[in-house]
Amino acid sequence: MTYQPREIPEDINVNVTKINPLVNLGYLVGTVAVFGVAAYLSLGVIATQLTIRMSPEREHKMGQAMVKSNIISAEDISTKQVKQLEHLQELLVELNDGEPENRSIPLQVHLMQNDIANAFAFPGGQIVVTTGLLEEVESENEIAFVLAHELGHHAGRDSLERLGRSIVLIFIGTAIGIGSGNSDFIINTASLEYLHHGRTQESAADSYALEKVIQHYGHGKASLDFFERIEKEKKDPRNKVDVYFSTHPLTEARINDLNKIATEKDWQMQGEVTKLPEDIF
Amino acid sequence: MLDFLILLLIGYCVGSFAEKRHFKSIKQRERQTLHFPMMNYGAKHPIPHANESALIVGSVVVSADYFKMFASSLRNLVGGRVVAYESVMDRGRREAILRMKEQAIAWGGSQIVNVRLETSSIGKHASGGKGLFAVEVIAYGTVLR
Repeated sequence: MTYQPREIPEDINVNVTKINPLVNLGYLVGTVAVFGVAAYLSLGVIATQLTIRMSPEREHKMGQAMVKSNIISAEDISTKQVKQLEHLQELLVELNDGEPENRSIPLQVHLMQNDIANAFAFPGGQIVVTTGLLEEVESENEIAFVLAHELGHHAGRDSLERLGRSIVLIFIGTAIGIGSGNSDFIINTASLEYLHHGRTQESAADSYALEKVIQHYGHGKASLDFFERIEKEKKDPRNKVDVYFSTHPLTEARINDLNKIATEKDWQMQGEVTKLPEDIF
Repeated sequence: MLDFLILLLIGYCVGSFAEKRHFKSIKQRERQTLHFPMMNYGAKHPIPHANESALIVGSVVVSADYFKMFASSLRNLVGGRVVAYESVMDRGRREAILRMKEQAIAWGGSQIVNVRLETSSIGKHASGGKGLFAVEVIAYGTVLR
């Protein structure tokens, strides 16, 4: 038998698929993009449904998991701060009185170590104030307004809404139990960046707050002092409160808006200012 | 994002230019060595009588370009035929066989019997990491003279 070489024509090479690499990549990118968008959209739908339907207990649990990384832990807190928090807690519960629609979530005030005066509403009735805020306040009316403002965010489910799609991850995290530890992704998702609220949410919380404060004290005197002071300090180049404006875009217009609402609804804006208890603050 | 696109463009242009040139060279050399027989014999089949024989090895390492790596990483998400790597593997196999054959001809052999092919992955990719994707293809057989 003699060997007779015969060439195999190149166009029947079955080992390389005859497809333009760019076309192939195009299909791949298309497929991934379509499924990516689908996943993104369905996450959005799930997030909205979760926000509407979440049980108060679940929301509370999620809020606790999220708030953990931002606050002074129970071991590091001083006795003075504990007393201050207790006072704020009482005030908050009084302000919340007669709000049955607040999803029967127990409210909780926490303290965050930060020199900048600020306050945040985390989901599940977890309200965080900074140590800087406690130093800045001069009357109870002022801090009551700040607390009531955060309460307004809580009432409007703003903090849940702002979490957006990451709420699904946090929900799953707490549901399967990672939320009880200091899980990294919950901490990352729970960064304060997520708690920036929109303009309409802010002004809704503002008018809610003013109403609550007036219900509680019978007048709105001094409740806006804190903001007016900040407004003045803002012009001071050495001020430390600038950050408050990045999370709470407060302007003179906002104070004016509140005064306008008060005039329209015929709310009493004058009265006796309640002092904070001297021994704790 | 821009640096990624630049890398992708370089990968595609340089990669497909090199591949075309390689395939051209492979085809040409395959035609040149076509006359040289390669045959595989089973266990019960005696191999042809020869005065001399030797182990002969042809080996090549081929790497994918950035474009191919990106395309295959996308393919990894959805699964299916990794078309981008098919041409890399084809080049590797044919080049390895060619090198073996060319060496056999230079040795003065009359034919190669019982050719085997082996493939192994080289670089970080082999240990499950990202980065270099390169395959080594080894063709080996017995050359007779």
